[in-house]
Amino acid sequence: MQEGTVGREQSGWAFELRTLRREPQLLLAIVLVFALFGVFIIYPFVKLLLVPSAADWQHAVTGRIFIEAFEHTIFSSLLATTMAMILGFIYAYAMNYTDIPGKRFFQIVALLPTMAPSIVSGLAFIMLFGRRGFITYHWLGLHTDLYGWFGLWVVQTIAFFPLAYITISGVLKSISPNLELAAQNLGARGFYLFRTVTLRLATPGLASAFLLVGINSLADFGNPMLVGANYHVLATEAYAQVVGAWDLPMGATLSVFLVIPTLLVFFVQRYYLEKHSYVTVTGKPVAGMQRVTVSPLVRWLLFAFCVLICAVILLIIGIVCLFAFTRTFGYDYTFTMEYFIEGVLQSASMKNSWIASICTAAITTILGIALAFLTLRRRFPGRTVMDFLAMLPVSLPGTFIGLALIMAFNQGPLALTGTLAIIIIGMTLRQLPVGYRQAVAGLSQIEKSMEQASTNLGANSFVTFYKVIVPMLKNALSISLVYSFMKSMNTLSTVIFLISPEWNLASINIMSLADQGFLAVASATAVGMMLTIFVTFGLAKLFLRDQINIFDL
Amino acid sequence: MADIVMELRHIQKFFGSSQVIHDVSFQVKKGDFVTLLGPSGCGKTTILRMIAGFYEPDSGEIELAGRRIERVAPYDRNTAMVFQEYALFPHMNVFENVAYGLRVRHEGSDSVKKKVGEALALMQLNGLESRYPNQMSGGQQQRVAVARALVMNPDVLLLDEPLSNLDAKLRESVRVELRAIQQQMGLTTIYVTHDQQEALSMSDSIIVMKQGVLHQQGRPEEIYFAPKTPFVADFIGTTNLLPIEGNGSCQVVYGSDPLLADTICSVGTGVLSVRPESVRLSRTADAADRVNVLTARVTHSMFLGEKRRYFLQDRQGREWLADLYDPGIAIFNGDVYMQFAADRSHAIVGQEPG
Ligand SMILES: Nc1ncnc2c1ncn2[C@@H]1O[C@H](COP(=O)(O)OP(=O)(O)O)[C@@H](O)[C@H]1O
Ligand SMILES: [Mg+2]
Repeated sequence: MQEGTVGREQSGWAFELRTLRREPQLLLAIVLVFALFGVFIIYPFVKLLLVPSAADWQHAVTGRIFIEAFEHTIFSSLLATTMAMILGFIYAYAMNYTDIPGKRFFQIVALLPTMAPSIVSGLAFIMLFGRRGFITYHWLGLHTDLYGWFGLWVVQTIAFFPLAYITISGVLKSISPNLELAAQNLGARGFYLFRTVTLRLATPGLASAFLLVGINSLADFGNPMLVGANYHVLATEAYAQVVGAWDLPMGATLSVFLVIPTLLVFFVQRYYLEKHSYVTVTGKPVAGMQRVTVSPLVRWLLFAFCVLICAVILLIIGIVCLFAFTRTFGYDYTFTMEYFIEGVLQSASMKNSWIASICTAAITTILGIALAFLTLRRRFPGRTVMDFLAMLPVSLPGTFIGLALIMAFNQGPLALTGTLAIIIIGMTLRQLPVGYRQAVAGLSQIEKSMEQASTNLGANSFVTFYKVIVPMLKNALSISLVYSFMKSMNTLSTVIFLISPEWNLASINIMSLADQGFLAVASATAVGMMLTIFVTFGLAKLFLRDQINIFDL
Repeated sequence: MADIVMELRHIQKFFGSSQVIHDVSFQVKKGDFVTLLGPSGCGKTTILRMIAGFYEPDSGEIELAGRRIERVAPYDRNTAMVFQEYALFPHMNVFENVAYGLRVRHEGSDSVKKKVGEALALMQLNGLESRYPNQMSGGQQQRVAVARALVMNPDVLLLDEPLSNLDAKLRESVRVELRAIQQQMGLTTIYVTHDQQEALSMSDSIIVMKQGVLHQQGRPEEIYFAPKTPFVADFIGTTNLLPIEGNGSCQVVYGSDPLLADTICSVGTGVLSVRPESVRLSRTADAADRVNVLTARVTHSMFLGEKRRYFLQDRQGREWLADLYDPGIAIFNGDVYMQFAADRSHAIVGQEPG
């Protein structure tokens, strides 16, 4: 009976399995999760890898167009990411290190674009600077063509600025003001303080943020589609191959090429940077202290900068609204609801988007918390694999996910093509890492003794989960619900291959309308999208009251 | 024996490859208040958690109420625990917190109400039913944590330093109260602390541990007056430890001085423990018939209110402590005689001073 006489703690698969056997329900749940991951992550991606033939691979590697698309993708996303990071950093620095007036306003405005599809910046760009752009053509009478890499650079910079700002702000917030106070106390100030303490402490977090923004811009589909013109990137080229040339294998090949850099970035971020970080991006902000480390001149420069950024954001949203509600902006300024009625009220796509996004938000949130509970608080074989699979989709471009899903579930016992289900699956895969991350961050802040107390009083894992864990994670749960709902409403790349005539979505409508030149209806749909998101949050707040924290994220 | 409700047999526990519990065995009688006492990091919490089921012993057996439990899931053990940091559920009010375990068991709502009411009354928490943990003081939270455990009527109640977050005054009153409730309910209790005062004043039985090794189990008086190892002697209260050599009679030799000790009548070397309060001081060697007289020099002394503590050095250069109660204002200094009664010293055979 004395099996453990060896001089070590019991561990390993056998031990963990034996412990699990005591709780069959838990074992069942774990098996179920792995089954789901197997069917909806591993199987589709293996399938996608198997579609292209050797000739396709060879063709892709040697074909000039494809090499070019690859170079474009890397080049444009490097440009956009760098620019968005610089702007985001300055903005975040102004928010966290100065007492400039109107900070609350600046913070809200910077978040506004996250409520709209990222192609809204592309849409606004076309309307302002396009071939018939309001500013370039109508005002200045120019016949310029800003489409191509330059336009894409501008548009993506604006599109990814909010993400950069939010992430960097999180990094800066988690730097303890005490360290800066200590440095100031030792005589450091101004740029010296910034360079030797703030920047040094923030560097790993900034690198993480850079990679996160990088993954998103690499995978961006809508903006290159709208303003890239002949400047093809991998995401749009894959789409063109599948939809234009009906060459599914080539589309698959290209999307695999797109995955290579994003996966690389993912591994660097997850297994290198996170381990070398002085501060955690998700760390609790240190309460209460106002950091003021800049001179008056710098303060006013920063203020001017924030005003400028806000002006651009408001200009974008403003121009979209104006196009949506005037007969022909630039020529005929009569107010009209016509486009709004056509694009939003008469179109089923908004309703479809809403249904799919609500379902996705619910599934993602619940699944995210359950996964976090399992990987963080239960020991079982394959725990790190589960953690990896839950985070993996962060690195997968939406077009890749979409393509893999249609190839995997086109026929056979699980023929899902053309259904709402496949759309929800795609969205859920895309959003799962967000829900999971939020839950992990929330759960790590809850004392283990809470669950132990529950277990000690007779509750098994399931009872403990829904009676103790879920209620205590209210905040993480709210954030995850809000985020995945918003993101799912707005996503384009993930669902571009998944929609069907029966289940068309609003975000796709915006893009195709804009692409075909129906800018007014496209704008009206975008406005309708933002309104739908707002109204949904409002209703949620009304019904759930204190059960959810939507507006103080 | 019929009245043994819990027994640990040869428990070992490793964290990674470092062993934190070394072959610990002990028995607990039904209705006893047993204290695990030892310095921080000695493995008290680990033992408690193995009983509760949060850790699994790497070898050894745990029996509770006639059942082997070392492999039983923690929620099936009926070992209600009071956590050091209370671990009250922040999203539940007092009533819901205390009712939690009963509701998990699916007890009827009338029975839940009744039992929770009783537990709250016992812990003097009436009227606070709808408060949330963050609306209560530390002392009140602590009471709720105890009520939540008591209401389960566990086979054994586990308490992990439950008083360590309270201030000194409160700690003393809660100590008395807790003991009274425990005796009133006849609840078998394992209590973890590093505070010897707490252990001595509350326990039926004390288990002294050091670095994962059980040094001694016994009644408070046994532990205090008859420590089995120098560590126990030193850890419980304060003591003077002298290396001694036996000479076949009931006399031992300390250096060249013969000493008389009741507890040692065998040959061998060991350690003699003499409590500071047993040492008497005098300026003159008036009573030649007295035994156990040593000369020493006072190095300094310290006024502590009810007593004065003297720091002395004997002829062999060893430091001594002597406590003089009801000291008055006269102070010894310079060369003095130290003396202690034969029945006030305790020999620990075959040990080196700790
Ligand atoms: N989860 C753990 N992992 C590794 N070592 C641990 C763990 N818990 C406790 N220890 C170590 O085991 C020893 C005993 O700890 P513990 O039982 O908490 O002591 P006590 O409660 O007596 O202060 C300590 O040296 C501690 O560092
Ligand atoms: Mg402890």
